[in-house]
Amino acid sequence: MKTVKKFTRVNAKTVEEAVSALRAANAWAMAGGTDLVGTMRFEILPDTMYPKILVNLKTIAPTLDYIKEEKGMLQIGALTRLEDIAKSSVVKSKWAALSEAAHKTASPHIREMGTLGGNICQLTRCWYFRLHDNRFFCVRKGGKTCFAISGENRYHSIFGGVSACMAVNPSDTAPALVALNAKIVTSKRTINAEEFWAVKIPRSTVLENDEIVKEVQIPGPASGVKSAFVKFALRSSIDFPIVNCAAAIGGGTARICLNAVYNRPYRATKAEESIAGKAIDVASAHAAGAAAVTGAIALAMNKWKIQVAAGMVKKAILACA
Amino acid sequence: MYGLKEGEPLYPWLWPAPEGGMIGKRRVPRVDGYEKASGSAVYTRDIYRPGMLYAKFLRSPHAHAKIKRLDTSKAEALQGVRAVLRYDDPGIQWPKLSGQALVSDTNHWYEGMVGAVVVGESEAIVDRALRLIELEMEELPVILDVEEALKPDAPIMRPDVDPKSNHRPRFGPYFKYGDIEKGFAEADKVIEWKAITEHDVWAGVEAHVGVAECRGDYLDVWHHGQNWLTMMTGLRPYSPLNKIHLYLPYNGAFFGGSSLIASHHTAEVAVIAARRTGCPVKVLDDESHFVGGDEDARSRYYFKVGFKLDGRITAVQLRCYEAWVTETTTNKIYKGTSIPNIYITCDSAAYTKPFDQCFKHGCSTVRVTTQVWEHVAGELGMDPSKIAQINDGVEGHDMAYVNEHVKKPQGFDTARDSCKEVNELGKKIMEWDKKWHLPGTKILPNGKYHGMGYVSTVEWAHTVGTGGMGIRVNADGSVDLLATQCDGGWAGQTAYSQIAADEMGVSFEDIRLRPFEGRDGFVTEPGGGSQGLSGSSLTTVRASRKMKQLILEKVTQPTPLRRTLGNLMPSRPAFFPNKKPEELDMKDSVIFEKAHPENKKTLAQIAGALTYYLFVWDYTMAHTGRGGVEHEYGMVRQAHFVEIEVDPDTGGIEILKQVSVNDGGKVINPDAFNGQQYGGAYMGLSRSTKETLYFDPKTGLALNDNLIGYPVNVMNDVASIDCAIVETGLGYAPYGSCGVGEDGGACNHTIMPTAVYNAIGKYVDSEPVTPDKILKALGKA
Repeated sequence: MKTVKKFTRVNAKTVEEAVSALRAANAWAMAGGTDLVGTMRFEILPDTMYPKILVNLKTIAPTLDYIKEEKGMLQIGALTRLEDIAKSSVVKSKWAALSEAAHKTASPHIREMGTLGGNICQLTRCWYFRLHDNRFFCVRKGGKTCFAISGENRYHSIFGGVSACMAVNPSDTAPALVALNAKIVTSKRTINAEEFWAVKIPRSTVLENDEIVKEVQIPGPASGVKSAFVKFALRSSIDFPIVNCAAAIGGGTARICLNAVYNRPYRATKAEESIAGKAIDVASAHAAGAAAVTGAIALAMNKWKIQVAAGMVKKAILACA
Repeated sequence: MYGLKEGEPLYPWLWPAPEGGMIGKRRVPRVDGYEKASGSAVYTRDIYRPGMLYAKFLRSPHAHAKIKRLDTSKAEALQGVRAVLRYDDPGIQWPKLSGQALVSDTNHWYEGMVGAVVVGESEAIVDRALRLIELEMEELPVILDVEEALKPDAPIMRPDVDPKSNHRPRFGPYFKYGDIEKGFAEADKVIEWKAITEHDVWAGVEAHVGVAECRGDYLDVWHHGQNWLTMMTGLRPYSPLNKIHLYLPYNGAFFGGSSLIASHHTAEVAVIAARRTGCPVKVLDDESHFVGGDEDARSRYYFKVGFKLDGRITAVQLRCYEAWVTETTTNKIYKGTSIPNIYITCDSAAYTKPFDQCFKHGCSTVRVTTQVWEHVAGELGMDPSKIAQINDGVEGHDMAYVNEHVKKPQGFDTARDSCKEVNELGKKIMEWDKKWHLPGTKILPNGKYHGMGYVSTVEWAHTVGTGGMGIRVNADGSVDLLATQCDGGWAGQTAYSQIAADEMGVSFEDIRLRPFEGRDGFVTEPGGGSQGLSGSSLTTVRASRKMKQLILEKVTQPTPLRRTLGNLMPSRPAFFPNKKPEELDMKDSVIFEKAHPENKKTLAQIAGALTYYLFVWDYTMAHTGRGGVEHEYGMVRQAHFVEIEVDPDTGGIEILKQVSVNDGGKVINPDAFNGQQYGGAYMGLSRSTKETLYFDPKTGLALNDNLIGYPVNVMNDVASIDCAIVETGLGYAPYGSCGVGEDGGACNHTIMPTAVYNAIGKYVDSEPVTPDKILKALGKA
């Protein structure tokens, strides 16, 4: 790991100032910095993409660090730290899936630094993309090849690729936001959570270069709806997910979202159809899990992840009982 | 024998430990405790010298490649860069150790190998210069599997070494005992299977670093390593050894080969750079956590085992690739069982695996017994701990033979049975007899499989090692143990002080071990962490006894007239006139007359007058202190137990409970002993369930070579660990002690296949046992 290359820091005082600064070439927004600093120190990106200007969002006033419930809607500022979301009694009370997802993200140290906005905007963890010194110039960096397709792909997509990229989205909070039918408020627009993620070079969201997340809005749960988040990782207390799943079920409806199985959070609609309106028990949850992975396509090394995904859907559903 | 008390038996293992003192006591302050707890401990990385430069490596960006062009001119021209040392610099003799080169000595590079060293005024300048180096390479074939490399049509990986073959015999290519064919003929059943290990790495906390400063011919070196003596030896080309001061500050995680090979190179490169620039240089090797792999990494084991239906094993045949199990001293299935016929072969190859580092040396040999107990028990539907007990013995002999021919003549207690004792205690703590079940037969109410795992082995080391210690009593009665550290671990250093306190009769608080001052020449056992204390305890006991004897002699004699710093010091009468040394004793730094304890002087009271006299030293060789015993036998055992749940939906393993029982022979510092057990259990279970370095199959590049991608256990990954101590006195070091330091990490590395087999009833003999392998075994992937 090297010392970081020279960069300029801009302490944005307003959202407008931040957006303006981001219009410069190679300007990157920085919130908690837990993803970005590692990206810089490992020099994973080619020189043409290496951050030259860091726009510090923490200096924006009024702060984007808040959790509030207004008219039954949960509003969380983009700069709210994950640990605060995990501990918030407001979030726990009605939006358990998000509370649990925040709690299961990374380690306590990271949660104390990392923000909700950063967590949903983080870059992929694909190890070809992440290898230090830009050893693999892959499609997500503007190259022509996804090295995972014929390489080490045990943790990669089980639902095919987008733009020939087999990387997965690693966020823990993202599937919870999709399951909870959240909206992402940016400096330009309001986007349904389900439509927020994309495969870009090198980013993972639909955000334009001069656009930042301001707030996440989540409607109050309908009567009888319970939500839950489950995660499977090698180290249960610190790792990025191998597969995670959030579900919000009740009142005859179901929203279920897997992550780390596809480029974007993957809405398991077949599982939703399978479980919606049914009594939750092991058999119905198992059937929904199996339905969730119909259409899954294994790469050479990740057939096992299909089973894990089915299992995680089952567990998420059972947790909503 | 020197050091023997009157009436004491000849053999040091039969010497009783002094009672009522520090030996065996809990809550003894560790010698490193204050510095580490207060944050004031100085690590090699903390060393700073005025005017110091920094150096970093240009490593090969390819797993296997040949250099076509290396242009360092832009880096050399960068302001603040003081030198760029190239692999092809004719003025530099790059270091080699154990046949391995860190800096390439040809234009042929492997991943991790260094082609240039940039020296500059700051880390940032060096990093900038590294980015300016232009490097063109021709990529060469990559073979990631040792067996693939041995195929006749495999490309030749190192034609510069052998143009015809990739085959490389291991050190000790075979081990043979008894008659293997006879053993199979006598068996009721013969089974065969294959086990493999993947690639785990050191992944330490403090990456390699070395600091060197030249003062004319004199050389100061700060080495990030555990072994003072071998590093000193490695410095021979650079200065007369009597002009080198070698310091070993604290180390942030270290073990074995990562110290013996790569970090030695780092220190030597620091010396070369310091000589070239005329300035102190700190070499920072930040990638070293993940360079190379254990000698056991990517091993293949082909087992063929014959046994009787009562569980007695008649023959073990093993064909190994990469694993190093043929060396007699670490061959645990030979050292610690009664199996009469053993034949093991071991081979390796030149392939895309950069450096071998024995950072968990012995793990591969434990794996042999673990696998054999597991499979024989599995075939017979028996508890594996019973298979271990049935086959317990030493070098092909059963314990009845050992009692008669070893324990009795050598004075050991024949009533003690280490295997039985560690198994019984461990089973009791684990409630093993209640929990163990036939493989694949217990599914819990939560839908998960329940599994119990077991591993046992012979002690890690039981011998007296080579080392020395000086003891000096200062003018104020404080005592210095002059003994450069032997290891990265510090438990042993505290224990030396405990032994010295009890054997000398000096208060523990008055003793200070001076481990960092590598100019005294006293070096405790350099053999490594697994045997540091047992190796060096004899020299500690002997030096301490010698000092006590010297003190008691001096206080009964008048001190003669002498000149000190130009001053004439008058003679003075004896502190205990008309007494003989044997009429006196010393306890808690107080010298007293045995018959009249009120007649006493403190060590502080007499030390000022005797300062220049109170110095002793001792040195033991590996064979010193055996009392004529030619061969030592491994009679001490350790056993480890684990309870897990396996999730059939995900293949995930939850470790509910782990129990480690170690027979230490005689334990000097129980807290430190337990610390080794706890740490070893976490490390071993981490390797057994998670740690693997993955490689891109085409390029051979490591993909997760960082502490995010490479999963080392955290505390939450093991629910509960219980550590217990047994003391049978069956070790060969003083008081019957033996070494256990390496045991927990290595044994627990091999345990998970046994627990998973017990859980799901299917063998997963591939370590680490990861969820994908379990799901595959269950037919779900």
